[in-house]
Amino acid sequence: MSSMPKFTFSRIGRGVVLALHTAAAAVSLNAAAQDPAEPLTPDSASVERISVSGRLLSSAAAAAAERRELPYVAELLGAEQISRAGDSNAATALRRVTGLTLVKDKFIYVRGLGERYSSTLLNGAMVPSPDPTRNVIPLDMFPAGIIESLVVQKAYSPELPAAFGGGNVNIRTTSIPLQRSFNVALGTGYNSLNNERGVSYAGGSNDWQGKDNGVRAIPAELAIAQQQYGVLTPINIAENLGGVNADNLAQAENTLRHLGTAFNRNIDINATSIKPDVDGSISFGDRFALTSDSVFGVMTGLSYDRSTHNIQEQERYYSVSGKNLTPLNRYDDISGTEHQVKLSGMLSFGLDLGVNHHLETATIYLRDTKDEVKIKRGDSIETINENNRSNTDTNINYEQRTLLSNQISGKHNFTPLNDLALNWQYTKAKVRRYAPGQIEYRYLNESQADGSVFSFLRRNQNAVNYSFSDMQDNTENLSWDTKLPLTLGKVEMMLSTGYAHFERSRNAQTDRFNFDTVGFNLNQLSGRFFEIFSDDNILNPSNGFKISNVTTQADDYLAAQMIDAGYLALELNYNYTVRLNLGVRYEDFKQISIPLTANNSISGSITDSILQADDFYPALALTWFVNDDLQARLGYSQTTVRPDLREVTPVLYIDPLTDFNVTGFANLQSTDINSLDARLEWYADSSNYSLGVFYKALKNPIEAIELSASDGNLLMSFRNAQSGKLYGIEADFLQPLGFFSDSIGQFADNFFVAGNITVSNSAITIQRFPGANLTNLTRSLNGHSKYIANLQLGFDSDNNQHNATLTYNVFGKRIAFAGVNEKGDAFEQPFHSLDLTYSYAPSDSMTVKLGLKNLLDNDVEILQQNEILQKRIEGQSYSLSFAYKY
Amino acid sequence: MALCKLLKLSALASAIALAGCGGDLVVNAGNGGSNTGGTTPPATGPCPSFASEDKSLASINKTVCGISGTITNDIRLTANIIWSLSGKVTVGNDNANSTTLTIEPGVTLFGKSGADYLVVARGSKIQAVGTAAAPIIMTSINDMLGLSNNDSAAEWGGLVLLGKAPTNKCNQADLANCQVEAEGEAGPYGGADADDSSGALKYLQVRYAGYEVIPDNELNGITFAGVGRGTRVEYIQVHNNLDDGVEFFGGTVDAKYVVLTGNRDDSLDWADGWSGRMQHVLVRHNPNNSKANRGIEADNQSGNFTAQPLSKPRIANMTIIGNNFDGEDDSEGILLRAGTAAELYNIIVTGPEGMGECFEINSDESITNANNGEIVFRNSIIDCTEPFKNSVDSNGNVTLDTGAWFRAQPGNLVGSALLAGFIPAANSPALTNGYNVANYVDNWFDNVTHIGAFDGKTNWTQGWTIGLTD
Repeated sequence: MSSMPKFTFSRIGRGVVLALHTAAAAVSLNAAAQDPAEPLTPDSASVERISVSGRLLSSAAAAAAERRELPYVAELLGAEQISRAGDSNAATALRRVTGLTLVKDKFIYVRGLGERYSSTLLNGAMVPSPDPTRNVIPLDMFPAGIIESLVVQKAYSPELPAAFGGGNVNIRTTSIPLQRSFNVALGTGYNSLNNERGVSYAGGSNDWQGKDNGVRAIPAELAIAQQQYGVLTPINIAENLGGVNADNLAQAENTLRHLGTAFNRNIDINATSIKPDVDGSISFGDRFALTSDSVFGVMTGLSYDRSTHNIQEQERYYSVSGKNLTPLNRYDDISGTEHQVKLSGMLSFGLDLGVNHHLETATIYLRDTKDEVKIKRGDSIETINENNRSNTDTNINYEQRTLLSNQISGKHNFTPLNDLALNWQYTKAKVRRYAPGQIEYRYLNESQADGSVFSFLRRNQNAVNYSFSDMQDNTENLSWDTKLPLTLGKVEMMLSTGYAHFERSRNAQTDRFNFDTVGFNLNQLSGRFFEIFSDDNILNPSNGFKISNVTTQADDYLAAQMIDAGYLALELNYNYTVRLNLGVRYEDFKQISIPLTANNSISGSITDSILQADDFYPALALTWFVNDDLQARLGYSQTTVRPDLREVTPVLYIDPLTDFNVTGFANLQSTDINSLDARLEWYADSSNYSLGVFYKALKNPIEAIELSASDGNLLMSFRNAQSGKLYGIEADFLQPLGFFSDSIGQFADNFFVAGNITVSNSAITIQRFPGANLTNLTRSLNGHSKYIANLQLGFDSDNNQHNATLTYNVFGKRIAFAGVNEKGDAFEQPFHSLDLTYSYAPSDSMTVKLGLKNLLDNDVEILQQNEILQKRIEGQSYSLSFAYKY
Repeated sequence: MALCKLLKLSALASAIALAGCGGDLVVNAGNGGSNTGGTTPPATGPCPSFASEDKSLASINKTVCGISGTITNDIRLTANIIWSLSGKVTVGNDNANSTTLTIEPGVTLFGKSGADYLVVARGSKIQAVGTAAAPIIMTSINDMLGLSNNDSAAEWGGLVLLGKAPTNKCNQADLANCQVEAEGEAGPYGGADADDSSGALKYLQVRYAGYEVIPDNELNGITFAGVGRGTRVEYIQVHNNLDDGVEFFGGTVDAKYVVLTGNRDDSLDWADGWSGRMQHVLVRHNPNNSKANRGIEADNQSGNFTAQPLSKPRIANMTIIGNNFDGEDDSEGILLRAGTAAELYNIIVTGPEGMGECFEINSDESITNANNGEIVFRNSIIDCTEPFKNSVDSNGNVTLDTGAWFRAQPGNLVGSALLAGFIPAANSPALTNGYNVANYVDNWFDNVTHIGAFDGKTNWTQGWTIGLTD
């Protein structure tokens, strides 16, 4: 699809891009080892108009230079900047880009627009998200080490997929290093919440790899039984045994008891002290000259990161009583521990055949595993008004997400054909979210007359829930682009066209089982989990233990998507003063999502599950090079935002980020977006500034809403609002502080400030829906912040041995959930984050880096009418790493 | 074309070409290799075309016909056949394909698991009118085979009626768009039509049903969700249900002669602005002391205690008999909470010694209702070891002395009701001290002079109920 832009006819451009290409390659190698100490190669000296005074400065300036050349409003973040700020992954790095906010450490909000308005490409290719609940890839899955650069395009251009809302992030990796290089890095980290003991359970022997060894998997006996009997009920088993009668039913019940013993019940939760985090990476790259102008390159890297984080949260849900909120659910004491393992591997080969032909392959494997134990103490609707009773809910949540992407791509320049350029890529990717052994149960705590507390597991059909989920997406993406430069007097032209084909299939399955404890007595249920469900207790017929996987809803679904797209674009450059880009993309989009019932038949009507659209998506961009230092831009585009597969599938699921029950809505329509951007950019020797305004009109924006449902059951879904708009102003700057004279100037010369500020406003009009009693029918967009600011103060010592960056980031309050039933909208409060990184490079081959995060010790808070709806204590985190380069 | 191969994900039984996609998106879905369910055999001899022949039941000499999916044509279940439910069976689509399910007297219909339940969608009707001699029975396969006993429950899903009457969960200025998702994934309910009819239930037993879909989301014995007063409900029994016996979510429906026995949660539960009437109601918790919670659990709306219109049913002549269950919650009498109002006339609450409190008002809003006359509770008898539970605030201060309040209402008695079983003895104060609700409250009510569900002369439960003659 899109590829690295080639600037063959811009006077300034040629030099910059060539330099960037090589400089970036060197930087990426450093980054792979998280080693910022490598000074830029001499090649960077050839970069026109960029004075290299410090390392951050150089990469920030290079980024600005590339941005300057892009025909559409975009931002670029180089590996150096990412490393400099101490960012460990793509998500945290992007927080520093103008108008971008990081949400839940995973998603970016572009200009305050929710994550559905951002999209991600990997080396220009569409790859699926391993998060089943969202369209976009959680960006924290990409370790900083594999990133060469991040390009955030905030204005649409026709070579991008038409599914473009507020921004597109292209994660670029590299294939041919500048020289042979070998890097190792080791680090450790700690969070201030970890000084309290955490909790853990037995788990499996491969947990350190972020891989379940099978202990959590659906037991083989159970899988066989499901094959044999279908839904596991005594009746079905008895029928299978030859008919429903007392004998067969007794035998069936016996079978169900025995199946109960197959479950992993070794999940007793114990307090443990928390080990410090560890991370390490190793990378290798080399280049081999084949002939005088042909080079073969290889890059490979492995990284590993294991971290543990204690959880401290609060959750409430309110009813209204007049103007006041009264808690209906109140969990003020949520604690637990999250273990995370991230593993990544990358291997790429590149071949330069002369200057005109380049081939490369990239294989990227990412694994991100979360193993979380959460213990929630408090009241649900059943106990909230009973002073002598409360709940202790335990959740074990294990989730393994993987992405494997294989890509082959080429860039060709055909000199005999008037410098016709051809870029192509083919990417096959596979993602999987494997979440076996998610377990939930509730103990009731009852205060006795003597002041003691009697706690027991719920005596219920549904006392313990085990769920086993597996979702797999397979995608293929083929695209090619051609560019043909033409000259007509003072007009230089570039004609480009391209085609893209994308297809995706999804298979999502969830098996839920519950333990029936109705036949147990309360004394039995007052034991610990493994005591209650000992083999003896399970197998004792008088306890009436049963497992069941009866559900009333569809849990599984199949889905597929296919996009065929083509575009035509023209760039006109008049006398290096004005550049006009115009183009149009055509996309033919087809999507189907089919919910399946427990016995694999289609649930509901299949015709409800189809979404089909074909449309033209035009884009126009005008750049006026006012003088050597100043340029002005104007852009207009029409794009779309399509609902995610999950959002159109009426299957109940639990949102892993919010723990809410969510159901899809088959009639969800795509959002049409009209965008207008204008920007003024000023480039001086070592500083640059820009000021932009933007306006977006949205038709049918997709909003998450709370459905009216029965008491105590918060149910979220999605609906199209009528219309929305978003407009604002954004500014960014990079300024070394060397403009003072005398000795202050000498010292200040080592410092620079960079930053950006976005101020915007949004409004949507949403109609009354059957099924949702929204309080406000006009309000700002879900997730939109009125202001976002990112500020950096950087220091580079004269000898470049010491580098430090202080980073401040804040966003204005934003709607987390729209209020219903006369309740106000719930707002996530501004989070002031202040981070410091410092690195010391005693020699060319060694670097020590210290990182401090959340120095202001802020907490994440969502408030509704000034009452806490959700609160998460973040804690402060500290990291130390050491890198060595050979 | 290309997508054909994408969906070769399971063993494929059938292929559906999607004309809407121009034929190039082909989706195959079937019973992915599993050998149960999935395919529906064509209608065969003994069963009508809307049903399929199911496995016969040992010792029952009748054909078994299964119904499944959505019923979009009027159908009649006849008594010469035993009927089985497979999965969620819905009469009509939501306000579309409206149809009527008629069930003849003496029909037996059964489910096999908690996922088998019967839903009447908005706009559609059920005509389940039995007779005292030939009641309609909805039960479990276990019961059909004689394998259910007094401890059985939760052997199939239950009956859900979804109507178009108002609920206070909706914006009252926009009732036309009123739509609330019912529990148990049953579907949407609510609307602007207080006179809506979902048909008729008469001489109907719902036995051994109930299913918890997820914690706090259950299928009740009979769920009346937004059911309008055009619906006729008389002589119904819910027996040994896992969750609530009958639960009203908003709506205006009335009911007479209701028997709620052995239900494991609340026998009568209302919320979300129910404003119907009820007379002649017997609640009896399981005499074997198995799980039970409240005789009445009443909310205005748990999400908004002051939502309008208030839940304010009028209930007359009800007898509640608790048991000694003491588990995660006790067997209790009446709990009015979450802002509800109510008019309660001629009520008896009693039970054995181990029973929990018999009357409690919870939440400031409901206490306000008690103090300003929105809660009426008169000519009633509380005959319990623990008759009252006071309301307290978060500091433990008493906000309502429930016993004093009850005693201050006209005609109330705290003392022995002198019941013999559930029928008042000849010397019972319940026989004569009733309030003439027909004259003084609403002529929908029958003329009575007694307190409780029985006048001492007629046992209207006789003949058509189960589990009361033990």
